[in-house]
Amino acid sequence: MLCNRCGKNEAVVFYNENINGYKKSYSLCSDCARELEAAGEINLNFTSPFEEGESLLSGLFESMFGIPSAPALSGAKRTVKEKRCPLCGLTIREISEEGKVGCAECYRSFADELRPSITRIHGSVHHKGRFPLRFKNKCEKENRLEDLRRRLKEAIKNEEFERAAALRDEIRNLTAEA
Amino acid sequence: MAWYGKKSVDNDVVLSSRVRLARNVEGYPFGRHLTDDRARELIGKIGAILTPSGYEAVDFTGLDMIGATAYVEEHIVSPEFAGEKGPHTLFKNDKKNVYIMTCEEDHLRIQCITPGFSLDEAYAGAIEAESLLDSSLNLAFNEKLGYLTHCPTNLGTGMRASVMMFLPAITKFGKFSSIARQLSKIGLTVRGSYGEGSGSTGCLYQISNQVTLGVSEEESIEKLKNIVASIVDQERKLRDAMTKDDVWNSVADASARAYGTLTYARMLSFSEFMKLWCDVRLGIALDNARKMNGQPGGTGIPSSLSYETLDTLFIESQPAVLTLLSGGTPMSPAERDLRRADAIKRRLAVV
Repeated sequence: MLCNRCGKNEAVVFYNENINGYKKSYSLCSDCARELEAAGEINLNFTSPFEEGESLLSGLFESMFGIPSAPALSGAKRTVKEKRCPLCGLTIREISEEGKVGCAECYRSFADELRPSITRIHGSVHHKGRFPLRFKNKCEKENRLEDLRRRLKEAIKNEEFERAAALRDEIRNLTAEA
Repeated sequence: MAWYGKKSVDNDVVLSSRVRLARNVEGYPFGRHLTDDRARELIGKIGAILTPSGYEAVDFTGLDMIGATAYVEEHIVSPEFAGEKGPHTLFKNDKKNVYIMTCEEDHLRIQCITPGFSLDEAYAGAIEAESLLDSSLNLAFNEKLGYLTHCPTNLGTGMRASVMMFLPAITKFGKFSSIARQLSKIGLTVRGSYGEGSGSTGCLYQISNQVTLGVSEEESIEKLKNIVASIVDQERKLRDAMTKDDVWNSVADASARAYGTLTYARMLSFSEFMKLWCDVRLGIALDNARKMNGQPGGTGIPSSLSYETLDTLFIESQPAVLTLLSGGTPMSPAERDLRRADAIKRRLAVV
């Protein structure tokens, strides 16, 4: 098949465009394709959003973590010394690119940076449930306090002021223990 | 004997229950950030706790493809674990219901798998193993975020509880997509396991909790149990509707034909087997339902063919497990199909 613009060379570029019903169709040799592209008539550098796997993914983590991924940061910003996790050496940018932290320490080093994304995933940032043995005293007390505060709110709502006062004292005593 | 092939509760609908806990050890980096030397050191520490308590270690770095894949097919390890490059070891207890993967995505993936609808039992088993490890290891934890995991989606309890369900009636009546939509709204995940997208064979589904932070283990399990119980109920109601004479005749026919093929075929691919397996399992369920309703039943399938035997067949017919049971020498797909048909025939002959 010959190029349908110059009619001389073999056509190697087959271009179909349909934007909102406005159709263009060409069969072109490489010279004519280059000329038409330079004139802005056709666009050969078009990439479908579905083909851009990598940028889509980092975009996803960007929205997950609320942190711009590497390509989105300007060169100037990248020269600034970034905070690194003391145990595994990752930066928050590397974490957001991978979507996973490098070690347990990362959750402490980047607590503020990670909080928004954790809230987005779970809808909560307050653990409820089991804890390791070495956290027994701390967690049991915290759970007890939480329970007392909930009951205090309830008592106030029901206008049971005597019960509320007792609960308030119990909370005071428990917090004073520390 | 493994976790399958045992008598269990509600196994006309629920094949198995599973609870897995993700745990990590303080001071060791996660995933690919953990060097091989440190990984070996960590596995050694874990082994020193588990081995004296009767756990057997299976070093996956020294395992061939067939051996590793067989564990995946038995639902004991994840495909990621089987394909892991660095040091990774599986620990299994002598009761064959607790399986602990080390150096998968997290340092520890403690799982307990129990037959039928038995989430409490699975949870208790996983917790027992976890307590043993907790007594000698510094598990990574913080009061706000709970157990600290490689991926933030597992933070909190690090627990994934799931059940594998056989839902042929819900699938046949086209009710599954609406159930799946409702499940996702209340924080449960569902995925098809086996035969997905292959029409009538899409009858096995796995349902699990999604959220792990802010909800306690007990609350999560309670919620899953309630939902699973109502799905079991719905599946049974729809099966009941299928016991009406006209529907029953076509189901009984399909089921008897499937049984005939299983007993007489000389070659069976796994996907064909799965389709026949679903038909036979449904036939048995409907036959039981008809007998309960006082209707005449009979599919021609021996009444001694139990769900346990069928579920064992399902595990043992998968390519790698089948190869392993036949001596472990790699086979071509055609050789496997011959071997599969033969193994099924022999298993059904003793029913």
